[in-house]
Amino acid sequence: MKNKLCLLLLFLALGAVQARAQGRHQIEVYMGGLGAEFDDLNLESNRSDLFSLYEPQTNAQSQPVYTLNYAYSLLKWLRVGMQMDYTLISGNSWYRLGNKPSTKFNKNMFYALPQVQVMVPGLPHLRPYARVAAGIQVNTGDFKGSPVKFAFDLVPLGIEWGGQRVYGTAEISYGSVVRGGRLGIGFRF
Amino acid sequence: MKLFRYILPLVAIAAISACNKGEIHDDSTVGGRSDYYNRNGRSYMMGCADNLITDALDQLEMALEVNARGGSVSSHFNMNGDITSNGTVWTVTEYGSRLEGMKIKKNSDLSWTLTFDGDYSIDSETYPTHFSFHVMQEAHNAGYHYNWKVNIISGERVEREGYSCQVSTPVPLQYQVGVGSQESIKGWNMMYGTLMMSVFKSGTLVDLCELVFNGVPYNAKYTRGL
Repeated sequence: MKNKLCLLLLFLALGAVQARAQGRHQIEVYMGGLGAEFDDLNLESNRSDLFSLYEPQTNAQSQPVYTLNYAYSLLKWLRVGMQMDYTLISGNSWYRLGNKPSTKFNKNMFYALPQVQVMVPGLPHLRPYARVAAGIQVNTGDFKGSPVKFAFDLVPLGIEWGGQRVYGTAEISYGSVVRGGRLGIGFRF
Repeated sequence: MKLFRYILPLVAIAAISACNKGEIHDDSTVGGRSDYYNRNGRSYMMGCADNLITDALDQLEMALEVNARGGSVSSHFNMNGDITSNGTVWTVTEYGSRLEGMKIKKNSDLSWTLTFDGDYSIDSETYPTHFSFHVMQEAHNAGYHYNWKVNIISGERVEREGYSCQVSTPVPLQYQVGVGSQESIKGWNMMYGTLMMSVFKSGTLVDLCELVFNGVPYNAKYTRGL
């Protein structure tokens, strides 16, 4: 419910911006599929060996990946910009063997990735694109390893649909941020 | 057309927010019961014994079956004489057996030595595995299977992240074909004896476990932290 309210407010705020539409700047808000790290965690939990028996296991929940994207049109077919992502994995760690108590954890993941987007010729209301982004991932909360890691996000195919000022987006995504895809809305001004 | 332009993004957001939340549910929700934790350890150890010992016995019995039928050619084994004759060595060549390369050597008495040094595959995982078993044939029960007395000379499996285990038997394990079913544990539904397992992480002993078979394989008594 909280997520839906936030998105609605964002939508209204961006709607106000739309009134001053100029055309070269664009802001997009996305909700993505499950985070890549959560996906890896899921694969891990299905294994059955000594490591999974003697090392702590994870019972986790994941928020979707939220993405705020800004891009500037250098050329009609070329955009550069920056994407910011956020997701949260929370849950508890426990042991399969031995009666050790479980511990709760929350891991926040922030991403900042400069990006290049290429528009592909399409229909006026269906505009395909591809995008590549690379940057950093910053972890806070409970985690192992380095707080800062390299991150990348590949969008081999995305579609903008709707008008030039307000449009919807759907894209396939792969990388260290999102596995699967994203849906969102965008505003051009 | 305006409907198309402005409503679709809203529909997309509503749809994605309705369905997008991930969870990993696993059996930890029943945690807190000590027998549950023991069950995991017993299950792993039983599985490991199954992989190493019963798969090896299965290959030996298959070799005896091929030999009894007088088969001079088999795609499953590299054969060199009669496998019931002293000193004869056969090698498993079938990849699907998961023990490709295992050697079966006939000893002077009614026993064989089974040795393997290679990768044992389970699903998409491969575990570097080594074992050497001395197996003594006992009474031939009805059907395909024999009764066996298994003495582990050495047995080790290496797993990921520095973990490995070694198995041993203080006294030989007995694999017996029970009355009635010949299906469980690939035919040996009565097992007796004690199997020990030492668990290592990066070469350091982290656990010592015991599985005492009392006739029914999956009722074996499991103890850890010895």
